[in-house]
Amino acid sequence: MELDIKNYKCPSCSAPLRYDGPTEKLVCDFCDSSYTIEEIKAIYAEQYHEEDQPQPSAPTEDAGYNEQLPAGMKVFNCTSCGAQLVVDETTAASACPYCGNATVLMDQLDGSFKPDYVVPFKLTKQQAEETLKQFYNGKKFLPRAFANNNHISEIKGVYVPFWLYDGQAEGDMTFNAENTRQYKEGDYRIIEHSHFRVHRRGTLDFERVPVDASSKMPDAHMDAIEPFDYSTIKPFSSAYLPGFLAEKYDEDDRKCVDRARMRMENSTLSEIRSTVTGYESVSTAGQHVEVRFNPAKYALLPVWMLHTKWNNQDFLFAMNGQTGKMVGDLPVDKGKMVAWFAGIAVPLMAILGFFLLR
Amino acid sequence: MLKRIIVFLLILAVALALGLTALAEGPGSGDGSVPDDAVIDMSAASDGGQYETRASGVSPVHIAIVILLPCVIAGIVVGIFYSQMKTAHIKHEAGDYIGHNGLRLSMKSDQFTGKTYDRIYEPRQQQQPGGPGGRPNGPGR
Repeated sequence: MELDIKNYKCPSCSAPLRYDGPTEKLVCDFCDSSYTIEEIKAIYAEQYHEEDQPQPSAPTEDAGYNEQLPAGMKVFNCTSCGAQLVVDETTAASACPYCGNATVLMDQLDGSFKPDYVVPFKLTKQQAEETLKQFYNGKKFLPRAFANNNHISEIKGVYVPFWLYDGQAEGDMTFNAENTRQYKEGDYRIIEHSHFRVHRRGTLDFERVPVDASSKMPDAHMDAIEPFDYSTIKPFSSAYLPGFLAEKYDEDDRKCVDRARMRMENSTLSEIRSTVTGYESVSTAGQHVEVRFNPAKYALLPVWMLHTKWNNQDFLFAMNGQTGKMVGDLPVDKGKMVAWFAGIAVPLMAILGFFLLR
Repeated sequence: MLKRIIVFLLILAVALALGLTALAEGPGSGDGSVPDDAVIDMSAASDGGQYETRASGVSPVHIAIVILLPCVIAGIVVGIFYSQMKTAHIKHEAGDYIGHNGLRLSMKSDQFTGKTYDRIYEPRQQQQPGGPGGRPNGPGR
């Protein structure tokens, strides 16, 4: 097996380059050089006479080793130090654990797997670690030992594959609405109910609704770090990948479309429902939504994945690499939970008891 | 935000306690009337002092309020704190990705279909001949 791989090396010292979000440049940590994406593209185009031309990786020494690889794994040799590296079949960018050489596996980003867009990382690894510490603040039920002694066992900047769906939803809803007024008539109080049949039909456009296309990424985490700001979205270039991991999709756009449809339908219904005003009570009598999709676009979006272990349990956190929104499920100290419950309920019982049971 | 909610719930609890106390004391209180279920402690009167009244039993409704209301309020506060611990949730809406044009309505009709009436018998209250402030069906009369 031979993979086409691409390394971004510093034109000055040949050390590996990495993409730096805050400066939006490729930087060299050894000689402190930095290059814009356009500069690197121009240098590489001149050097290789063709932009994005991949370098063939050195053939693996033992072909038999490949045959013994578990299903779904690929092997390639690092072009910098020659180490043999095994990666998941969905890995599109990685780094050599021995020499730190950032490698883009161009095979994984070719043909139908070539992304249309990329949202570059804006936040650094240090910012991600800092955000996680802030994330612990104010969490009343967080075990003290978890916050104090917990160390992040793994932190990865990952370009996660997403499908971006554009669509137009047409919704049709009918409602039963009612207003009431009251007045006195002799010894009777009269409640007058005015009934209305309300009908709304409307169209709503959706732009780039994201659905993560990797089965390895937890859907709840990927949904919860939204929204992404598409104002910084770029046409795809592998020059944004060095220094980060990247995955290619293993769930195609037809498989993921139902999640986008469900979200668009729900939003359409709630938008139409919000136009029914001026009534005291409104109940939905009928609803129908039809969504027409444009061809889905494939994009790589930036996510910091932070992994910690505590009490033999795994805790996974995800941070939007662009906005810094952090999500993840934290451990709960049941003792603290009971203490808070009792600390509120018992004094209240005493106060109420003093007034009501004396 | 959270602190405001907690303070609000605590104030609500105290206000409820005061309100329920006022209700428990009844409308007859303050006008010298004695509730039907009260006993009169005459021991103080025999010493030349004022006699006192006290309730002969505690209402089960009050016991339920004293136990359940704090539990409900504590449960709400604990529930808010607990929800902060679990932040990874599947999204069910796509409101962040609605286009700039927003919703374009092609049909908007509000059709009146009719009226219905509820009639509730509420006889007018008779004015007490002794002047204002009287309650014809009040307790202790």
